[in-house]
Amino acid sequence: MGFSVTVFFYLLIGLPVAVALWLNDRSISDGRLFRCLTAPLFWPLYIPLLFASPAMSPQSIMKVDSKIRSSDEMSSMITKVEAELDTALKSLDGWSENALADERSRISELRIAWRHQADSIRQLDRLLLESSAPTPSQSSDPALASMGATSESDQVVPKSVIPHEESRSQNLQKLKRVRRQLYEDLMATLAWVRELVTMIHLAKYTGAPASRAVELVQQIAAAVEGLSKVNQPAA
Amino acid sequence: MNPASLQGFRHAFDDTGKFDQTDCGSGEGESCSVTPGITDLGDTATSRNSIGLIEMILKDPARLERLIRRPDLQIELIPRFLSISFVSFAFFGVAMALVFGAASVWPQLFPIDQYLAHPNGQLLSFESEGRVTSLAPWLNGDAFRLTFAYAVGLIAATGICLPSLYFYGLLAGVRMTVMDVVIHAVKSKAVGAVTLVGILPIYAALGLAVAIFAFPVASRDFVLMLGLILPFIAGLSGTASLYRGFSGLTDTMSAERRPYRECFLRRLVLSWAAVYSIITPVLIFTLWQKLQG
Repeated sequence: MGFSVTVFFYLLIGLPVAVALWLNDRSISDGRLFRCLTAPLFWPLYIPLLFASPAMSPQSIMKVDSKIRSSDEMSSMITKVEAELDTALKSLDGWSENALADERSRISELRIAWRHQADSIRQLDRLLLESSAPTPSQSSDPALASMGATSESDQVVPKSVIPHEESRSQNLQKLKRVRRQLYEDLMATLAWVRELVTMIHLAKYTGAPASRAVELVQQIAAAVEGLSKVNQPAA
Repeated sequence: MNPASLQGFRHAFDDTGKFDQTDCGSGEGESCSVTPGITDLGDTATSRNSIGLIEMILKDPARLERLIRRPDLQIELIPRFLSISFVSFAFFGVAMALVFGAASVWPQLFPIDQYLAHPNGQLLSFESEGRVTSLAPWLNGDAFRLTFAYAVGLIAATGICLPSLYFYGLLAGVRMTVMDVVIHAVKSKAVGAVTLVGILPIYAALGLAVAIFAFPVASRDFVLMLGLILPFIAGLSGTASLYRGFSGLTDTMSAERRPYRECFLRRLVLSWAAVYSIITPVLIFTLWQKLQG
């Protein structure tokens, strides 16, 4: 196959990719024009964008419920804490390089653990949103529930269904408590690590011995054990 | 978490007189020097535009590595990295065209198949055409062909080699998506491009010296050839960035696999970089030679 034929087929694939990118992105911006103009030339790099999950696109992120939007605050918080942790660990160079040597793998596990916990919280948020009762008054008013009627549609719910609905509602409440506990544990761990990070800086600039850095890094690494217990299911 | 130990640490720092005060004027500057204030760019929309990304490439690569691992930002970041690379390589093409024009020479390329059939021949020669002005490459389109070949060839080669990078990652046991592979590849491309723009002025000074002073032909050709391979020299920083990025992905491996898979992954990444370094010059040369006719 000659060069010109190769180029022909390359552009033949690239042009539909450019059209698909144009149609997929409804924003009016220079970026959209740049993507579509360069797509025929660099379509292997753009094809994964087309097949990316809709939930990952910036437009779909804007539509997320406020509860899930608060989960993105978790990502911001985690990113911020990791940045502060990186800065603190870098500052060990020239002062207490060995402090990190033994704890490196545990600190890596810590990063994975709090991201995993944040993912668990997001999954619970989605689950609770999907499972939330259509009429909050029904679940909170036992009298109304015992009459077997809904407040919105006046449809009569069979009395045999009511106990299951009550049990379901209780389970959802338990899930909410679990979610709240996971969130509080995650925030507490992040706050704990942030405080230890500031102590590392304080120790360095007040001339503390290097052993202090070792203790502080060990405390940070030990935080992974608390998160690991939370993430593991009960035996 | 042990609240008692944390309380112990808090009390330890309540009285800082317990520790030796470091006298900053005593020459022990390192321990009390203020860390150079890297501007906390944060993950704001401003920091994620092209200029913000260039700043991050130069000032805070660690933050950049964390940024590209956010799935919600990958779709936004990939075109930005591509634009940085494309503009930088186009700038390189323009600069090289200016250097060749100032030196009154232009590379003549010969087909690869002819070179393979007659190994005594040459692939490229610098022919002095005795131009009156240095605008000739711009008027006859040679400068645009050079710019196009480099700008497109350097980036398109990444797309051609992309599937192999993805398979290498899977082979090493890294848990990643195709988007992860793309973002790491284009990020490393952007890093190399920014490095190229950084070293270009140094080369431009050398190139202009060739134009002004009467260099021997061999020395002149050497300097001009150095310019043509400059993207590959700058690309070493991109390779290092890719290596760092993929090394960071080992945290997706299970703990029992990581010790013996980490080294394997790094070697695969270097292998991929070697493959890319072979494919890219062939692609650039072929594009350029075909455009030249």
